[in-house]
Amino acid sequence: MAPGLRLRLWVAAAPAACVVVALAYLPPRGGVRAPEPLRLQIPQPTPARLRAQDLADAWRAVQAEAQLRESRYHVASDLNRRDSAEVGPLLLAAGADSVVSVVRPVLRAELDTAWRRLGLGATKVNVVVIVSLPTTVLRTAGAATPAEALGGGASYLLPDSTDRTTCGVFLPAGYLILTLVRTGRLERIEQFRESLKNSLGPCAFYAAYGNPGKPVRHWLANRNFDVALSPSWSAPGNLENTTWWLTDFRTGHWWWEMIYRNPPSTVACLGGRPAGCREAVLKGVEYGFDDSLPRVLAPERRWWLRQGLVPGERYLADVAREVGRDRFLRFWSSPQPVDTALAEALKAPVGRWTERWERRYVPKVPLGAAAPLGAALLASLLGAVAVASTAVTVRHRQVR
Amino acid sequence: MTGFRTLVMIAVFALPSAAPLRAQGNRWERQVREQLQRAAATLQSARAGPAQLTRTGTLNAEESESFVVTLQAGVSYEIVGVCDNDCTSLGLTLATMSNNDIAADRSSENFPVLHVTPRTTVAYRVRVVMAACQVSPCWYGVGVYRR
Repeated sequence: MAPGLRLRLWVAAAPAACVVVALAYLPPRGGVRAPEPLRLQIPQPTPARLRAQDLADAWRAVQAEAQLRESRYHVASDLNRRDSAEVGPLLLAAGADSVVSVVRPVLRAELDTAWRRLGLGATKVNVVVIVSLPTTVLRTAGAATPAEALGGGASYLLPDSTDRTTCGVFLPAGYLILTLVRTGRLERIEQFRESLKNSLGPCAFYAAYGNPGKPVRHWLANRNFDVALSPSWSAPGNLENTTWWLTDFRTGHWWWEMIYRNPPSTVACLGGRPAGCREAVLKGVEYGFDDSLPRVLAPERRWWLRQGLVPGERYLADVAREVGRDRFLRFWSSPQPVDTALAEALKAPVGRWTERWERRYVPKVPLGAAAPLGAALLASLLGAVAVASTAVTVRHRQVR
Repeated sequence: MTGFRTLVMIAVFALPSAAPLRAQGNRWERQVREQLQRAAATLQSARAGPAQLTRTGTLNAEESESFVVTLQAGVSYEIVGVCDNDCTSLGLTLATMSNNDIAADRSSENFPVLHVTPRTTVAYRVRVVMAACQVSPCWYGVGVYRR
């Protein structure tokens, strides 16, 4: 081949390759998405709304604390009079007499059912459930329903050195209880039972395993008890209930915006990295012996969006179910550092065990730079063309 | 000394309760009251006087609590500590109000006993240490008996 012709061939081939690459990667097929009629987006609240939500949360926390502390004096005499044969949480329903008379028997029965499902009997730490009911009878749906009654989750008054044997649960009347008040009938019973059981939260752990040792107590308090919010040790969880909010329900693809809202260690754990899992579990283990711990625990609004682990709320319950009561109890009340005590209970490195646990709920999230299959094939094809043309050129080269 | 401790220990843990117990309280509190009653019965049969003071309460593992008791000079006392079935190590210390230890028993697992004969009639501090408790809190009881 004549040198001039060869040069012309290369001059033509290079822009052609650029055109192919541009067609493959530039919009509309590239990084910018075409407008979609319905796109999943996390709503971004305004600063004013965030401020209002913070104030509402603070108000709820203070109200819960006041009610819990006030109720503690009311129930103290009941607890002292209590026969040791009596099991189950003590129920205190606050509201109009006519409302209490409707709700109390139903709640009493359902709490006993939840208690039995947790496998609990007489416990050293008594659980007192305080339910805040409306002060007036509600007959019409939505009418006169106080906003604060519908908002927020359960709050907890944990045992401390002034009262080591009482754990209080403050339960705002949610939708199902308010419906019970209005209609006199409990709807969606299974959902209500599950929700009531989960509402016992850390108090169920205190009832089942006693007050935790100092390292575990500080660890849990430092992370707002996020790994002990669901006492679900009686049944294993499943994948379907966990990943729905991490994936785009239409395409089934990962919802990256939601995944990357989590702390880096949580994302690393989702990506199958044991070191990330270990860091996510052991967050909050550092503590000073003089640290005083808050007695009132009010989980954050939408706490599930900022979890240390996914689904962190059932982490310790799963540990308890997997290692058995004796080993979990040794961890729970251990004077050793949390990482040592937990590894001993698990009989495995914390990171590796947690990574396996994470896979039960969330498939491994592909992290890091990864070329799409199409791009890899195209690059290989272009490379092959370049090599082949070079080979052909070399073959026909003439040395003069 | 060891023989006396063994006698009280056998009485506390093996013999049935000498007096009917009140139904009040949970089963762990009742365990402690029963043990204190047995200790008192054994000490009385060993010519000790009635309890000058008994104290019950709850402690988490590694926590301690103190209370004050006035002891007479030249009189021998037995100070007995008991705890519920979840407790595996209980310590008992008698100290002056300025925190100088006079007697201590930290090695008797869950049944510490102190024998003291004070030289002066003053207030002393009895300190109970819940060294180990499998399910916290553990109930404890302390009895101060005059011999």
